[in-house]
Amino acid sequence: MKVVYSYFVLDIIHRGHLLMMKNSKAMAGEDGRLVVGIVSDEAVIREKGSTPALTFSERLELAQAIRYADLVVAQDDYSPLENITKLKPDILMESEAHSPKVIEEAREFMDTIGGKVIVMPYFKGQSSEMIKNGILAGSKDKQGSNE
Amino acid sequence: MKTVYLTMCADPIHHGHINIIRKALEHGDELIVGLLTDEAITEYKKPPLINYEHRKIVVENIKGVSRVVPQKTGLDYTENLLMLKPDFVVHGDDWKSGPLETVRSNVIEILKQWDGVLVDVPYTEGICSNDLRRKIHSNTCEVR
Repeated sequence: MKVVYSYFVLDIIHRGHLLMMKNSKAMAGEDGRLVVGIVSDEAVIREKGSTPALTFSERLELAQAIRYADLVVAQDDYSPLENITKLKPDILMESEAHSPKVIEEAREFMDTIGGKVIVMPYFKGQSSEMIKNGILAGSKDKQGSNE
Repeated sequence: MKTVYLTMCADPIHHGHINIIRKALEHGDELIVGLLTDEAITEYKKPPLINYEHRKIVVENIKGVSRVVPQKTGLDYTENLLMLKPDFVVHGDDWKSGPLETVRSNVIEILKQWDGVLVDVPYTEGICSNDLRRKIHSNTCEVR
């Protein structure tokens, strides 16, 4: 049984997240499991200096409701290293939006357990940033979702 | 098999929607979500942040949702109700008073034709998409 690990902040869920989860689940195969990590509030604050709009438990609940998620776990750091060390997944899904250093570090670990890292291209059609900017601008003109 | 009809904007989706989806599933096993179209949302509030197609992709990937159909107006459920003839319509109880009161009465009347039932579930306190937008507005939060 293949185990795939994928992680998100998941404050405002959009099509890009769904594509990532769908692809991750597909990598796990029919009887595989997709484990979704949700980055903790503390980790988001450490990395970005600001809190997510939804609380950790609310974001967890959202993740659990997604069709592709078999198991949802907390990720206490922006890097998946701690969780993949514990879980030893067959595949780690990464995004090219994540820091190259984090990805490299994770790849080194995945190599030692014979696992793979798959780096997905950043989904440009829509991002949380665009939605957030649309909210800040108070109009749909500034966002990318109605292209 | 019982069918349940539930409408939402999901712009953006949050745990309040997940709560009502869960409650809707207590009444039936086929859950059809009537997703308000961009035009329907614009009827009574600002244009949506996320367009219909993108909101649809998110909602149809929520566990328990059988399918998503367009709800072309938030002010009249007649067309979709006659098409789907659901056993239950589930809605937040916030529409018992205020501008949607007559829309609600109309739903009850239509459902009577096939003994359908309206279930008003308690509105999830402390969250709505507008609150979420306000939070984002007041806080340059990370939303990736």
